[in-house]
Amino acid sequence: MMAQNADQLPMDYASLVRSRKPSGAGREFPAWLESRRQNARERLQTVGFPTRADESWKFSKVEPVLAQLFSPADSESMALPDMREASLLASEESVRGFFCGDRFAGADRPAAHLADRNEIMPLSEAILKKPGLLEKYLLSKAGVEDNGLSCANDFLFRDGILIHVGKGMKAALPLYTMLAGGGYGQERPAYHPRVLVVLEEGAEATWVLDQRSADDKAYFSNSAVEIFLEPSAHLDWIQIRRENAQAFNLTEIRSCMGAGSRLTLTDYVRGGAWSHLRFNGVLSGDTAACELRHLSILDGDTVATKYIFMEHAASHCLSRQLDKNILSGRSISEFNSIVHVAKQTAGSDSGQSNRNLLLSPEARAWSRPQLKIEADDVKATHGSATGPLTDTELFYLQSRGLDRSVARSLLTFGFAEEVLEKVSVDKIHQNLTQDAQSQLDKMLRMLV
Amino acid sequence: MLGIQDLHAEVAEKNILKGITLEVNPGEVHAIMGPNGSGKSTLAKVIAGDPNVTVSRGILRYEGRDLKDLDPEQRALAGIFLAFQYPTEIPGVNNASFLRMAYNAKRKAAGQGELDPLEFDEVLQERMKIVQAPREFLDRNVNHGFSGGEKKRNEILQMAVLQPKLALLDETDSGLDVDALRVVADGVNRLRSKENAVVLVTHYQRLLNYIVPDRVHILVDGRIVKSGGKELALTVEQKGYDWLSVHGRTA
Repeated sequence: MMAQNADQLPMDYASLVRSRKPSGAGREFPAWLESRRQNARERLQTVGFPTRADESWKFSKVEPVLAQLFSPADSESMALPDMREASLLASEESVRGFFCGDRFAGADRPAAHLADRNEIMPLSEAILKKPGLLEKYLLSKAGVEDNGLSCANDFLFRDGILIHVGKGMKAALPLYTMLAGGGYGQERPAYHPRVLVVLEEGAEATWVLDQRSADDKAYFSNSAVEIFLEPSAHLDWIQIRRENAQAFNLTEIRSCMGAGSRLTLTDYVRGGAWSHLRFNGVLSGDTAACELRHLSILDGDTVATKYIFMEHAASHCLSRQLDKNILSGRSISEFNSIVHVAKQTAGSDSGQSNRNLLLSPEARAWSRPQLKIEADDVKATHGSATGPLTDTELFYLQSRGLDRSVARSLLTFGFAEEVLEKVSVDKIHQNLTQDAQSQLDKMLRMLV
Repeated sequence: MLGIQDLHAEVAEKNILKGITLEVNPGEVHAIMGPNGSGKSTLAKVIAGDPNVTVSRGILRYEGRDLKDLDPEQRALAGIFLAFQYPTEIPGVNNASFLRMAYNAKRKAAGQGELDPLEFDEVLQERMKIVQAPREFLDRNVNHGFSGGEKKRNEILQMAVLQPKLALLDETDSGLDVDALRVVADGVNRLRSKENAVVLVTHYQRLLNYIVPDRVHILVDGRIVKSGGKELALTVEQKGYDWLSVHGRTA
């Protein structure tokens, strides 16, 4: 295609983002939000885009992503498919919200569901209906562990979704959010979806975030998730990232956990070209707890990397990380996790465990569990293991009468199941179990 | 049932077994004793088909078949069972499901239909009583997070489910307290019959107070240096192993 004018000349994502005005300019954003967005833009000029010289991006291969000629999407002109049919949970068994790219594509809830203090709505609507709540939380932690891509979301996001569970309320049904990336008729679009989750004091919810592809075209989803758990709130979060082989996905999470609150995240990745998860969690109130579980099933040239920064900022907090990756082909994973225990805290308890199962000699798993401890009264463990299935493991199962291929399949699936069994929503657990089984069978067949 | 003649075997290119000759018949219990590093576990492993152990010479036959021709699973389906000294932990694989898979693999090999989970549960309940295995074992993953003693009991539960013709118990007594040892030994005794045989590998005599052997063999430096009746184990208990090295080789 011939370029028509200077605006349509191919440009890399980085330079395009730098030059672009905030998305949604001209719309009526409140002054506080406009100010925070402009601030993000200024920060981007200062911090710049990440490179592999930055330790926290070392193995993520981010430069090719930034040079992929993605352009911030023209969301207004997108034709939106109806993604309800593809939903993992039916309308009567969940409260649902749908996004295509970064454009809100509808929400629904069972008719019998009381929605007054248990909301799932687009941010554009929440700005009008819940201005106080949004001003308190939205972009309020921006600037924490800044990088150019998070700044890009901060100032380019045009809409997003709010999940809000009121004080003492328990969401009776799982909350379900679909972020469906895709080309949507555009050439290599980049999206900046944003999710804000607020659980008020004592609130409880289960939330499923389903990131997927609506088509097989190349795109970049640069998403940001902000989570605020007020004291004694409990969020059980299941994140699924299954995208097409040309999809690039950055999910940046900032989580603030108040006293006695609890966050569990079970994260499942299969497919995609490149995905990078950044989790910044602050256990800010005494006895707060956070448990991260991750499973990647990777083949081909897929890259799936994670950077986790877990801050124990209060006393008697607990964090647990179980990170497992199954790799074949020339795929790459990285577990780069730092647990920081701040001064003047007591009784911190943390554990980091990274296990990588290599099904191919060309696959690579980088493992960097790290501890930065400034307090005295701390219990911290970390461990890492990478390698193929061993003859000893296989022999044990063979000695029970199972043939070698069954033994290999059982061990490989068992490796995955240790994470999958934590998925608390039965229907999602079944779906992911089948998905993993099918993918692993395919990968193992190719090895024979 | 099991016929071994002049068996030599290596682990990581190091000679471990240096000419073992042993005959085990149905209904018999044999105890293999010996000091650390004498090759006791290697003997159990080579019979079960551990790929880390290579037979370099000799005869290894089971029910008239050359075991060297059989993969580990074929040996298992033919009725050989090894209770491991260090059972492997398998996270993510439910113990009850695993037992059913192994049980059904055996049935399938015998030309019988597979049992569904409900049918199998009946079998399982009965077998669990034999070895007094706690119900919660079934809900856990195979050996994952089990204590040393629990792993050994889980091995004996597997043995009870699979009902092998030839059971090889590799240091099953290690890591067990006296009460657990008695439970495990009772289970093994209840599984004994005229048709099957047991080979106990043990470092100490105490297990043999509960499972009385027909024959005791002392293994030193990869060779059986003395064989005898159950009283040989008591002699070893009193005198240790050193005197046997001096006596040299005895069939």
